[in-house]
Amino acid sequence: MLTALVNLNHPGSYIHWGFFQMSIANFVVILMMVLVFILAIVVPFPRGKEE
Amino acid sequence: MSADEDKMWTARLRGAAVRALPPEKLLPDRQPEYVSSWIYVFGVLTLTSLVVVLVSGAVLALEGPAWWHTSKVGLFFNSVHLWSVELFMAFMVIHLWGKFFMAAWRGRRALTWVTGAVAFVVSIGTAFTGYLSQQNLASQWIAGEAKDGLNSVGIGAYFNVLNFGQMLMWHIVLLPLVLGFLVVIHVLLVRRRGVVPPFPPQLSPTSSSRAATS
Repeated sequence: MLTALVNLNHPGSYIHWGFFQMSIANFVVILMMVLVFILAIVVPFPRGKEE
Repeated sequence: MSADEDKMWTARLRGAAVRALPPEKLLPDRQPEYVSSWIYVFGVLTLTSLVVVLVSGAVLALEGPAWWHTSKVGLFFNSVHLWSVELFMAFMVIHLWGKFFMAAWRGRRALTWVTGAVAFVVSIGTAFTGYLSQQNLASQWIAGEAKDGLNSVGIGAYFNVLNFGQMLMWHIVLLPLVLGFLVVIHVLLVRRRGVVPPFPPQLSPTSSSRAATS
């Protein structure tokens, strides 16, 4: 049986910034989306043969 | 079109549809050069994940809650439905970021932008009612928290998040219909107006004056 890469069997962890609060899980997802966005802009797109 | 055909609403509608979206525009085989960038892929990734969301949701609807909560295959389709929604929302937000920084409403594309933005809001509502339909502690907690907010703006009597049957019907009938309609209009508008081109290169004052004198 495969187990989760990260132990999730505990209450969620949160980041706090003044009145702002967000779970680390959501924060990591947003960071990954920003990373994918940046990669989509900088990584060259494969081109087929020019006609 | 003959005079007789001109009186028929079906012939007029067909003529208008073909003029607005000729087949070569509706299903093109060539794209502009600037579309060859990964950022242009996220629109179609969003559509692809939406198809997986709809198909897995249809399978869940066929078999019912007892199946998706207890059997292995049911749990698998439940997970496919959840994770395709996660990807759908992530791809849609990256698509939104890309289009925002391109100012994709340029060139008479305002309605394309607006239908996309409204589809995003409707997707949030559809996902929210999906979370309410989980029939577990999380959905009870979300409903309990949400009811106060919705009551405070006066719509709790019409949209009762504690009413499981109502939320399930919103999730599987009403909101998917609205979202599907908006997505179809959005895609047809993209085909009609074309994909937004990048910003033209901005010349500095020195280079533009040099260009003017040469």
